[in-house]
Amino acid sequence: MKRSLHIVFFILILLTVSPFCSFAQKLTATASSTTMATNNSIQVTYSLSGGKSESFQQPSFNGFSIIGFTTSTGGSGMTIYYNGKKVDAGGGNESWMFTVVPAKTGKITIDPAKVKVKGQWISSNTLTIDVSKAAAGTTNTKQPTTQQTQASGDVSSNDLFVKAYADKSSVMLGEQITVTYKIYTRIPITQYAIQKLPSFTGFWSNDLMKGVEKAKQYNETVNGQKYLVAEIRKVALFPQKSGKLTVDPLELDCVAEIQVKSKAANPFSGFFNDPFFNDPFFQNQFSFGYQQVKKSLKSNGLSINVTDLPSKDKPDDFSGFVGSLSMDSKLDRNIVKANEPINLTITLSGKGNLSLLDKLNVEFPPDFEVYDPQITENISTATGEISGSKTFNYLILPRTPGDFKIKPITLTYFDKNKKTYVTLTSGEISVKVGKGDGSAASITSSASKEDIKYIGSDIKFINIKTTEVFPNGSYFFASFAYFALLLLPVVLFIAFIILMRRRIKLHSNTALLKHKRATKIALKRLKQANIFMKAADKNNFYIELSRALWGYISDKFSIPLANLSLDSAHDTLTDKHVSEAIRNKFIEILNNCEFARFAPAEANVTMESIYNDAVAIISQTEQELK
Amino acid sequence: MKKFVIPALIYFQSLIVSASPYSDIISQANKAYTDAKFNNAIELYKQVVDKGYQSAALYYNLGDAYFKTKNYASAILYFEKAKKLDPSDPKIDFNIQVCNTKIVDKIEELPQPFYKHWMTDFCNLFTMDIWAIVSVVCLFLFFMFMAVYLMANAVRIRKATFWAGLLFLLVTMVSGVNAYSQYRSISNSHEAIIFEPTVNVKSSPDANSQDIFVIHEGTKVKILDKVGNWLDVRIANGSDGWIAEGTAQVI
Repeated sequence: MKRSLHIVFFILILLTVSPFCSFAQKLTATASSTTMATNNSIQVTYSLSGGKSESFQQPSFNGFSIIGFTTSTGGSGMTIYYNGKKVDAGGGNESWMFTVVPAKTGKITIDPAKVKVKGQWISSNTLTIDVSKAAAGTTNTKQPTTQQTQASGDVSSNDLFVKAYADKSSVMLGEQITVTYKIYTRIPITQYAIQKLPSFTGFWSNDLMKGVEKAKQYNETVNGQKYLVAEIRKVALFPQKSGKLTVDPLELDCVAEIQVKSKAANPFSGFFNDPFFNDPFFQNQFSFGYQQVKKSLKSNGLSINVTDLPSKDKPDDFSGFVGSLSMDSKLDRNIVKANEPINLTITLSGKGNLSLLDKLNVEFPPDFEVYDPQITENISTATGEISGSKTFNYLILPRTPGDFKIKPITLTYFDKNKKTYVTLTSGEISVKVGKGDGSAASITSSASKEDIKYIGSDIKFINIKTTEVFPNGSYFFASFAYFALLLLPVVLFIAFIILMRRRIKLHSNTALLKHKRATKIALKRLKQANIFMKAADKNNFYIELSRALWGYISDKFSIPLANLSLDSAHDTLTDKHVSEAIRNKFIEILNNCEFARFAPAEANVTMESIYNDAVAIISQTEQELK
Repeated sequence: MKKFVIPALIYFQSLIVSASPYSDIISQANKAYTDAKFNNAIELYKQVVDKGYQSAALYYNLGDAYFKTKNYASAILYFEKAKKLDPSDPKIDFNIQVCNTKIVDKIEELPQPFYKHWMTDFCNLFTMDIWAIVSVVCLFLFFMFMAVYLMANAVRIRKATFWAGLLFLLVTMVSGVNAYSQYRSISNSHEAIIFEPTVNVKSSPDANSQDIFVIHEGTKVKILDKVGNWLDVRIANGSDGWIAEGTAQVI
């Protein structure tokens, strides 16, 4: 490419310079065009023939600004052979090429450039460029030798348009939908540039044309018109939310070539870097003049209806993956020594948005040291549907010996074809960890005691045994039974007190009565004794008298008669603080009474004196006790 | 003595016997819970609750089931209900703490004076009905000692029975007060759990008034007052404000 460019320049220079080159040194200025639009650029070339430059002084380029500069010496690296001998073609040609854009409109004159050859300054010719206003629709192609003409035609939207297609208009959440953008054209396109990519809001997108060199091209007939179609972009979308989602239109700029009846057919036009459009669009470009026209295109937007996944039977641990999937787990060995690494490889393969599955829920025994898994993705977009496999590689270091179990790994996804949730489960993996050789194990396990690690916090388990319930509000406290039970001891206590009081009262009453009546009864008996005395009934007199005395003590001091004897009577009187004289007298009379009963002599006299003594002693005792 | 205990025993037995029809539903629910069918378990426990029956164990199990379904506000509500019925169970306290780590709001609790703390702890040693029984028994013992005191003639016996009687009277009063305070908290609750994801606490009972702070689902609040459909609530750090009545459920 570059080489051919150089050749072109050389020929150009030769053509323009040849009339002058046979003589002395000459500096020639040429412009690629003398008329131009403001949005175009031209090349201004200064060529030196017949000499070697020592110094070059560039013109001022008033009214232009320089956007590029190249210089070539010795005829662009060409060697000229003459008669089999290598000769220097007149000392070689040198050229200085400026790419300039106009800063204003109108006729602009470019000053001569100067070059010093063999100590002499040589000036070039001046150039006059006619700069016109930029015409709409024309574009600056920036190709060095492209002839730009004023826009004289436009591209109809029937000839060139972009359309977006979705393979489905209604999908389920997480299901793949493929959107293809196609250019329909009936005119050749030299290049295109995507100006605005849709943002795909609400979708997870994956470019399906990554690494595709060539856009797919084919013919398609639309409304009876035959179009050449190029698929410029193909995207796999995975909706991340339900509802009506829209895909914004894609905007792109196309440079189309339209045939114009222009004399300025330029055989050097169209050095495109774009590989897509090299061959099919360039078939006729050398036959006529072409105008390059830029056209902005906008595709249609898409509206996609995303339905939610069925909420019925939706498992809690649903991973969000929709498609089809299979899981394979492999442990490289399951009998190891402590601190020897094990690899657990879990491979997920299937169709769908595998990139979404970035975490696996693997429950390792807490004594295992597990490193973050190494995840490798192998995703293929070749078939248009995203498929492939994803591998999670866990490096495990069992730190302590024992038999361990890695719980079955489960992964729930929605099967697109069966329309149900499917849970993949790996088998339970058991690992037998033997005692390590001591070197590494001792560092972690035996040297330091381990604290109990709390792995998670959870609530306590339910009460399984107690199943009884009570009606609301049926509490013992504040219930009738409660108050009744509270009242019960109070009532009992009150009853107890009343009972006790009455007993005490009753008890004290009889005693008091007896006490009060003691003297009376005694006197009554003494009266009876008096009657017996007068009747000289000695026996009855003494019986009655001793009864009066004994009865008096018994009643007065609440002592049962059966308990009374002379000694106890004496003690009782002592207790009741009766003076010793009366006490002794009382005992003496009692004694005499007993004695006199059985002594028959001197009856009357003694009877009378005993009687008087008894009356006296009772009244004396009565007085003492008061 | 015997003839007073027997009626009490009969009374309690009657409560247990009358509850037996629901014990199979609860057993079923417990089984559903053990089989990790938590929604099923909730349904069954709720059946019993809706029939107007309760027990600390029932509320506790229901709270557990709600927790497992990640419905933390309901879990806290039922744990708190269980705690009211049986404040002596450490499991309930533990679960409430676990729940509180799961909810949005982390509120720094206002420190209580130590004696208040002790009093609450002491009151929560037993359930309300245990306190009630203690008070009944101690009152009985008090009167018994009083009777002995009155009958006894020896000074030593009278002294001993007098002080013992006084002690039992004190225990009766304390346990009665404890039972009453628990009874009040059950029958006339002033606490509620927030059930809306986000609740703006207002400065006055008016939807247009100033928002003071925001609380979230599962937070326990104390109800201070009620005006119309608005509740004056206080959160654990002592801040208070008004919330709409429907956003919280009374424990």
